[in-house]
Amino acid sequence: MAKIHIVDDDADIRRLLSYHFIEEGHEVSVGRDGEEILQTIANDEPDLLVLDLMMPKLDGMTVLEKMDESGMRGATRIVVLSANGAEIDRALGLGADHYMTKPFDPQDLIAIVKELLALSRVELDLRRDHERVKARLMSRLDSLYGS
Amino acid sequence: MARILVVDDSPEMRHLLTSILVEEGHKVVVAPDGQKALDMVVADPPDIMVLDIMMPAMDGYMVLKELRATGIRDTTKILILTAKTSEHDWVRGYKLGADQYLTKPFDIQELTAAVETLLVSTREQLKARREEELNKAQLLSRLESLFEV
Repeated sequence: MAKIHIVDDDADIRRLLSYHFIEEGHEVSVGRDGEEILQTIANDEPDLLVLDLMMPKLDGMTVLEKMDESGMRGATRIVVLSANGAEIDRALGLGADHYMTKPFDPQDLIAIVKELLALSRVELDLRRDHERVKARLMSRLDSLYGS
Repeated sequence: MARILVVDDSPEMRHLLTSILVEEGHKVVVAPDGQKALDMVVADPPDIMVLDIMMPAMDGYMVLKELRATGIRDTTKILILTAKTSEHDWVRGYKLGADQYLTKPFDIQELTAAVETLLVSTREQLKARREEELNKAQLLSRLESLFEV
């Protein structure tokens, strides 16, 4: 069982993900905006944070920056959710462990979370480097073959 | 913000309850049956347990009995949420140590208000209220026996 915190301004996403994670045996809490996260993490560090990038008050990328600056990241694994893949490299560079593009199948996210929770920090860093190389390669290919 | 364990054998009911409680800002975990609930309470006692009564294998009453035996009862407040609506049932629930008794179908506000009340109430307040509820039940059954034909 892991402690998972979900931050998304979309109530449907919060409901959907919290149900699936809770049924998997995890302890789940949710937040509606980036502003609350830093406080939540300072109080009780989650094992995994699911973070939406586009939020009205404090967006996910700013949260990542703040966590990165303050060194608050600790052992928390971070999965970012976004409607587009444009910021993958930046998010991974700021410490996100995985990037998911909406819409996605909740089962895919559950599988990723299971994988991330099983990895050590060193393995996570290697995995992230690999994801970044993949993302850069994909965007190069896109620009080569894109219209 | 509290840590809440939801115990219900119905996936639909778990979905509904967890949606409501996480949105209220609580940390939520679930157990689909009585035995799993007991294991979870013993391993890491939640602040509140929302407990269904009618479940296969080990029902809610049995969970309450077992909890009393472990003494964990002191750290976790218990809210029974059940389709069993008779007076006999809630008397049994309170006697076994439940702190609150709500019946299904329930109103969302009713549930969140009950959870908030439990969180701010002290052990003593809850004990006093439980005794009050039991006295009320006793009085009612006396009145009933007086007017019975």
